[in-house]
Amino acid sequence: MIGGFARRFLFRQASDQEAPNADPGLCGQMGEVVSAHFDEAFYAVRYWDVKGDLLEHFMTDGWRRDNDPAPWFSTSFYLQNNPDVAAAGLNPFYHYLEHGREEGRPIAPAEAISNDRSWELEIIRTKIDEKFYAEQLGSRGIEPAGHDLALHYWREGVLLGLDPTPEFSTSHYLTVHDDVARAGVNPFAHYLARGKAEGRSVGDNRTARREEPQSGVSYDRHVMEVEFDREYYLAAYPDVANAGVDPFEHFITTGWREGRNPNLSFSVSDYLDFYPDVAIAGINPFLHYLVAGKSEGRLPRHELGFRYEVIKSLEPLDKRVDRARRNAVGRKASSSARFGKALQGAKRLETKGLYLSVSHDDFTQNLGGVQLVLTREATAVDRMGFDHLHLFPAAPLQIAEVEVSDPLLGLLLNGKRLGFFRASDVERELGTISPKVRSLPFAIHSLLGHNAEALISIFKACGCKSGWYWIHDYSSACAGYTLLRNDVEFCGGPPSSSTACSICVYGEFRAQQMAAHQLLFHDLDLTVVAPSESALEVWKASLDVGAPAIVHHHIQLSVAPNKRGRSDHTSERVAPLRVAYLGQPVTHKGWPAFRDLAMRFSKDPRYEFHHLGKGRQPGVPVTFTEVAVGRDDPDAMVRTIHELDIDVAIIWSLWPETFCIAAVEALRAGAAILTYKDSGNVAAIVRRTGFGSVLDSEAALASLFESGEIIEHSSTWRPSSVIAEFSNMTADLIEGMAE
Amino acid sequence: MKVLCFSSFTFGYLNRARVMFASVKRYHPDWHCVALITDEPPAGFAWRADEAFDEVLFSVELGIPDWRQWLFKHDIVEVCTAVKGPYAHYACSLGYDALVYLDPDTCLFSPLDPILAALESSDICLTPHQLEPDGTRQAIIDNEITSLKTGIYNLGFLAIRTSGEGRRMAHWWSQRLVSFCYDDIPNGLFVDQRWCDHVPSFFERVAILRDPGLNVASWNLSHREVTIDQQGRALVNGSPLRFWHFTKLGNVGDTMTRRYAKTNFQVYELWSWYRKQVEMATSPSIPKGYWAFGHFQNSKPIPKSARELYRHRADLQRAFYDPFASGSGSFEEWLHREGILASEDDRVAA
Repeated sequence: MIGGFARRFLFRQASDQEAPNADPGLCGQMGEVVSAHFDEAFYAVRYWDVKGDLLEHFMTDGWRRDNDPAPWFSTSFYLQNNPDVAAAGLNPFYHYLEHGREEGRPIAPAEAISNDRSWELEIIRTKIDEKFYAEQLGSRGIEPAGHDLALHYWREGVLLGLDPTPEFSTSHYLTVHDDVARAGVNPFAHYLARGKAEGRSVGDNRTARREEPQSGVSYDRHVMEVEFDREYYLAAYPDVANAGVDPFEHFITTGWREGRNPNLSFSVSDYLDFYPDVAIAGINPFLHYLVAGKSEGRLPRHELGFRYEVIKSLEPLDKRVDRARRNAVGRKASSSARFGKALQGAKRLETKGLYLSVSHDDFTQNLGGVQLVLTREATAVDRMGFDHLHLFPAAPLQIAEVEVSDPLLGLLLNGKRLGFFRASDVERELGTISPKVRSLPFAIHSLLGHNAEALISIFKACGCKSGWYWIHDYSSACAGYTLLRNDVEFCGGPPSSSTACSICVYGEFRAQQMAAHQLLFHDLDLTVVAPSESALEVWKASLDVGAPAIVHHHIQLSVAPNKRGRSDHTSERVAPLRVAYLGQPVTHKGWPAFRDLAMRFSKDPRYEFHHLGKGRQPGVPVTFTEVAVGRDDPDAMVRTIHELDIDVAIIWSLWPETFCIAAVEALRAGAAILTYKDSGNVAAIVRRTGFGSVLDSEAALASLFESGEIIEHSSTWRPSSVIAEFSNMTADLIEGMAE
Repeated sequence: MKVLCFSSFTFGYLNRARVMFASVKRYHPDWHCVALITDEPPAGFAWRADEAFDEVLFSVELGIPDWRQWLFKHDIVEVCTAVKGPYAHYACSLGYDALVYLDPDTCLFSPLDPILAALESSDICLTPHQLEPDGTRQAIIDNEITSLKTGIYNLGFLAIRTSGEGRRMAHWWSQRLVSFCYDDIPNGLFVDQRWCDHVPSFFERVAILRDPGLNVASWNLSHREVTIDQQGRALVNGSPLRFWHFTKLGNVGDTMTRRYAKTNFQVYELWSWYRKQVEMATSPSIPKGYWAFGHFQNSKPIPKSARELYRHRADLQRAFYDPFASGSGSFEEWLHREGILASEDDRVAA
């Protein structure tokens, strides 16, 4: 028999090389006999750390370690009670199946608890919430022998239906995961060792302990109501909120038929799309999922990734531009005399000079990275004693204005709104005063919404010959200013004739956008200014105008010497790791990646997810803290990150950020950064400073959290004493000229 | 190499054909493009001034004997695939070196140089549906078993030399398609496609093209990864994407694409673009689902069962010379009289 086994084993080795797809368990007589009775699912759960072919493991190694092949067969019992089998070194399970059964040899079920499973006790000990467990015992009047609560849970608590932590429901776990129940392993130990990694649900004590539904309330309603997210529904469907109806009632009567979702995790349209049998049955797909679909392995929403959604809802650029134009209708032009009068009143034009700047919006009204740095610039310019005229389009557009040759411009004079004026009027008035004006080099922060020819005329009328063109984004290279092809992937600014440009929603506008900027560079004497080396590198690869270029950082970062490592404000808090997203929840800044991460690990006690900024997203399992960074409180974000003791900021920009103030805020506040490989200056800062990691994919990000490596790394990645020196933008450059 | 490129379709697929031929002209401006149409223009339809194809040939001009009877026996897919053989055979004598057939729902993304290279040493080029075995049960059923039923090679693409084995194949194929181009999987027939399972056995100098950039579709996406590099090139498993087969534009195509593309989002970018291109190429004067040969004379749809009946019954073929006719003494009247055509239960032919 041994020889037969050896022959089978050699045969399998050979056959593995010849026919790698051959099932090794079926080769040979022994394998055939055993495989018919070997309980693979039981073995997989009970001996969760076994890799590879499970039957082969049992046959070669497992039985020698007293592993049991099925719930009804104890390997150690059989060997202890059949010494002849043990002495012969035979596989006891094979012996029983082939001979022992007929001979009536006794067997016993697989061991319930044994010292070999003491690893379970060790792992329970690390995570049990002793206070919570003790309260349960107290409320049931149970007096455990000794003080070892983990031992109590391991030996008795499971049988009593007690829970080791508030988040883990023993009864739920054993009910839903009946393979674990059959395998006879401790459910909490299984979850910690294996189940969490497999994404198994742990229920929730609130759910498990919920009272039986009132009579008259159906089971179906109850099942759905438990998982329904009212807040999410009302926020996602404002028409329902406005109607004042109960959101759950709405969902179960008409909402699901209209494709409305009950929570962020479940998509009615995806489920009906992917499972036509459910659609044909005409039942509420959410109900189907909860009572049947989930245990069948059906998915609650597609797992095609957030980029699929972005592509699905891509709006053609011309529609967006039309909408922007329509929104700007109603802005009226003021008379040019009014502008002329304001210029007359500006006292410093002749003595100190007039500084002209251009951007895509009124920076005094909007709050964003570019607007904040323009505010600093304006303040510095004022301090230097210049008069400052800022031009912005009345109709903010995502592209340069090519259709309207004499557009309406908004003007700020020394930070005060003068009104809207025709570009031609602005040109004329500036032309009138220009002989008296000391013109300074100007700054073009953005051409978006501006007509290039009109601007050029304005500068020339003013006697402004040269200036700077700032790269805050890549709008000079493409109508897609983030250089995200179809808003999903950094394209690198490839040739316009490429497939990428052909299939990109911005492709057909690229030529006109580049032409408008090339005109600027041709007719004006411009020096390109990039706020980071990485921005300049990306820009040069996507648009080559041959202009001189410099780098002038918005913020210079440095680390105080000898102060690397864990921030001095960090408590001895070990868990949970605090992970945050900073700012507006928008796709190109990586919000969906953060959201998906938070949803995946929402029940993981190792992590706590936060969203700091604006635009709270209901239904997402994160703690939201509103942060309004403004002129009056520019350090609000830094302060909040610090107060909340955030360990890690996820700055998952999909596009090559030209600067990214949020990254600096994170570092100043002592948080490490996890960022995406295409995030431009964020990745550059992380690589240069070592305060975090640059990752290739969302899968790599999830893996760091899955394995828990992020916890270990964050303590070395978190910065301390990062010093930030803010630039004054063009004011610095003007000052530099004087020197 | 002088190449004639043709496609076979009806006016309902003209939008897709426009996108396909425009892509052919972009990369092969010298190819002569022929639209082989088995249809009649709908009322009010006018050709655009800038159609991407060079020539339109209505398949009635192929001279297939008993044209209307023959046509009646086939549904829309069967007939559009059947005429490919006779046209290919005919086109072998037009003075071109090679013929390339492309389905109207394909689209080029880079030059078809690997095909031209293959035609230097081979006379017939085919692309199999799959190039490697699948792993999961679902994929085996969706892909491998479907190919066993519908043909190993996808005849949305074919390239042949107009002489030698290519010409011989076109002749053989033409004969078979005139007689046996039906969707009858239980009897081993699937239109033009299954016939080509014979090609590597019957003919020499056959190249089975394994370039992953050729004929990419949902049925082989399980083994093909699409990327777009920073030079803007679409790549499939690292090789340039040559042409994509946007089969079953709509829910079914989307389902199969999603099932196998999964998170390969670049696939969805290509589909999103294609959908818009087809929309822009659609003539509003062509009604949805239009086909001149889908109805009896009285505009009632012809059910598939009626076509199949006529196909197999020589007596009916003799009795009803024009099976499309309506009114007294017509095949349609006979179908009603025999209770084969009920008024409400008719199914429109495919």
